[in-house]
Parts: sequence; C-alpha cells; structure tokens
Amino acid sequence: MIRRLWAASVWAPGVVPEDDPWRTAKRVWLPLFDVIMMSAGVHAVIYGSLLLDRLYGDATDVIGVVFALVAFACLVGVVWPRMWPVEMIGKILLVSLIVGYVFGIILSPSPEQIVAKEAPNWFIVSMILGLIMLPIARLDSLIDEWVERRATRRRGGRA
Amino acid sequence: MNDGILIALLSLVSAVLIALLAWLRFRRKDRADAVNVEEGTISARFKDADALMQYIDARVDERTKELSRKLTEMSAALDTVKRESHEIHDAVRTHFYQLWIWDQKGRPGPLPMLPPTILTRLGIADPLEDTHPSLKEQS
Repeated sequence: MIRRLWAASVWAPGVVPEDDPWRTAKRVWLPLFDVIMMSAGVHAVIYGSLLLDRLYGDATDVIGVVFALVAFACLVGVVWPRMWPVEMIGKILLVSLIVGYVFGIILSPSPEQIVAKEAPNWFIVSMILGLIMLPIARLDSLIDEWVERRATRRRGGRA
Repeated sequence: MNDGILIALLSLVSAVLIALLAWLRFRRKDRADAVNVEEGTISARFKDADALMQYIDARVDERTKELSRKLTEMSAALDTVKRESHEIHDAVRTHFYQLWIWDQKGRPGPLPMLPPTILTRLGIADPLEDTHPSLKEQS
C-alpha cells in the first residue's frame, strides 16, 4: 500500500515528466507551501489568532481546522497528481480563506487601532496578498493541464 | 451586520468568483482547442512543435527507408572498391619496383609477377599469355 502510494506520488521517478516546467514546484515548493498553510491552521487552533478570536470567538478553532484541512487537501492533490480535482477545489478554497482574512484585516480594526484611529495594516495585507500568487499560478497551471488532458483525448490519445 | 459574518460572506463570494474565473478560463482554452480540431488545422493535430517534428521525422524515415538502405549498400560497395583499388595500386607499384630490381641484378630467376589475388581481381588469368610458347607456334 505504502509502496503503491509512493509510486504514484510526485517524488517517484517518471510521475512528473523531466521537461515539466512545474517539476520542481510540484516536488518541492507546492508541498512545502501546503505544509506551511496546514501549520497556519494548526497554530490557529492551538494558539489562536487575535483577529479570528475577535471576529469568531471559539469558532476560531473550527476555522483553523477547516484551514488545515483545505491545505491538506491541496497537499494531497499536489503529491498525487491523479487527485488534481481535489487540489483544484482546495486551491480555490485556500485562496478564498486567505482573501477572507485580508478582508478581516481591512474591515475589522482592533480596538487599539480604533482608539488610535490607525489605518488598516496595509503592510500585512500586502504580504498576505503576495501569499496567494503561488496557489493562483498553480490553479492556472491546473487549468492548462486539464485542457491538455482533454485535448489529448480529443486527438485520440496522441499528444 | 456582524463583521465576522460579512467577512465570511466576502470569503465565500471570493471563492465563487475564483471558481467562476477558473471555469471561464478553462472553457475559453478548451473551446479554442476544440475549434482547432474541428477546423482540422495542423495545431489541432499536434499540441506542440515537438510532437509535430517527431511525426515529420517518422514520416521522412518511413518514406526514405528504401533509399537509405540502397545508400548504405552503395556506400559499402564504394568502400570495397576504394580498398581494392588501393591494394591494386600498391601491388602494381611494388611490382614495378621488383621488376627494376630484377633488371638491375641481371634478371636472375623468373620474371616477378603480380600476386595471384591481384591478377584475379584484374581478370588476368595468365599474364604471359601473349608470349606463351603455344602462341609463338601459332604465329
């Protein structure tokens, strides 16, 4: 079972073609990104989040779990290319959760910010928005791969 | 409205928007490919230049297989001709040298001859047939 899972993963030889421009991303950067995103969800559960706690109270744990599960789905989709629909849905949800957090920073200032009449923390907003570029680029490449698969089928299996 | 609900809704809307954009992008690319197939364009048959080149190479190899075989045979034959030609050339040169030595030494023994293999190759059965005693008798 473990051997079969390994053989179907992106780290097994031949699963990701040598000339795939996303080869290194699929084998290193995307899994790493998803693991970091999973850790973000886990940390939200364990340590909480100032913004999420203020907005959702105890439900922050649920959001953290959902975030971690979505990131895990993305990881599963990246590591096993056959699970590409899972990755596609996961990436959409992950990006929307991050975008939601950005909205949270902009629309829900902390009591300290209200007292000091501070602007939203645009620095954090910009940094977090930079975070969604990789999943969006991957989503785009997933669409390309989907089109490619259909194109190959349309031509009777010939690339 | 509670900020939390508003933000959750915005997050949901963004998910729907991203999904919609992704779907539209897929549809546009997929339709462009389908149109290519319907129009029977070269790009419809081959997704990239590499596949097209492989197809052309395979077709050229197939069409020129017989010609290629004949060329290989001719090349081998030409190699043999060149090799034998050099052997004959060397043998004749050596023969002339042996004749000169033979003459310089007062013509001892029989006349030096070309090696039998060279004579056979040149189609000469008997190099002295013109001076054969039988011919002299006839004349």
